[in-house]
Amino acid sequence: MHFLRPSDRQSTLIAGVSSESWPFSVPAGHPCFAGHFDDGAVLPGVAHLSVALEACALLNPHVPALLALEDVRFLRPVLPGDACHVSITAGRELSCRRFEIQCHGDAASRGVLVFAGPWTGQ
Amino acid sequence: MSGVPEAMLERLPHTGVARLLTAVVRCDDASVLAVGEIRADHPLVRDGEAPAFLALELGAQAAAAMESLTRRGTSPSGPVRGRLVRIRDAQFARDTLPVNTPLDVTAQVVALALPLAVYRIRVCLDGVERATATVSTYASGPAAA
Repeated sequence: MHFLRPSDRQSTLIAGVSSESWPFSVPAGHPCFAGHFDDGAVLPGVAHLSVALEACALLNPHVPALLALEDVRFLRPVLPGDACHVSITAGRELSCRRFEIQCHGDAASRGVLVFAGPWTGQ
Repeated sequence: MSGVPEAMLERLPHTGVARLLTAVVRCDDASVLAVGEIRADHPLVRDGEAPAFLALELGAQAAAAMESLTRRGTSPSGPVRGRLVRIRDAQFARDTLPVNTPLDVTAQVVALALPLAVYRIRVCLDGVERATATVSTYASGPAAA
């Protein structure tokens, strides 16, 4: 089950920082919303992580296994149909990537993904 | 704490495939030991395996079950909503977890100042640690992550 379309990739370079991003929206009927929750659907936090890792896999099909999360913050809920963007930037080390999911222009979640080794992709 | 664990599960807001916790073994004011299982039809399962980070959802649900105990007196009916607000120092021993397999889940209170709570969570398979993390939850709010 995929959240992103590879062809939607957007590249930006701001103040010397390169970022790759994809727009996405999770429709109301998506299975991730089932049972989470019956009185008001919210995208689970683990689905945010899944989106971020899917973006990493699009950047590097041979991305190493996820080893750790340094610090992930969930800042606002993502609801069915919300217009979102996920962006990936380089981390402090070659084995790290930062992600941020924005929803209607506000940060919905952000954090640092630590992989099992350096990756040579973008 | 006899009689409480089953009620704790009933007060989780997660239903259907989203509810990963299947039993609460024991719980007190400082920690909870639970059992969880990721169903093969969970939407994040791919090629018959679950991503390791789903352990975080197991831990968060254990923490939510514990919060349902903490808040019993103040919210007597209905599911207790909690919002996952932060994950720190998460470590995964492997990149996947098996599906349809019982996993032991513990959540231990690190700091509690309701509505904010911080838990250290641990997920094990057959006694072997598969994931650990520190998660922060916000117990009341319009929506949860």
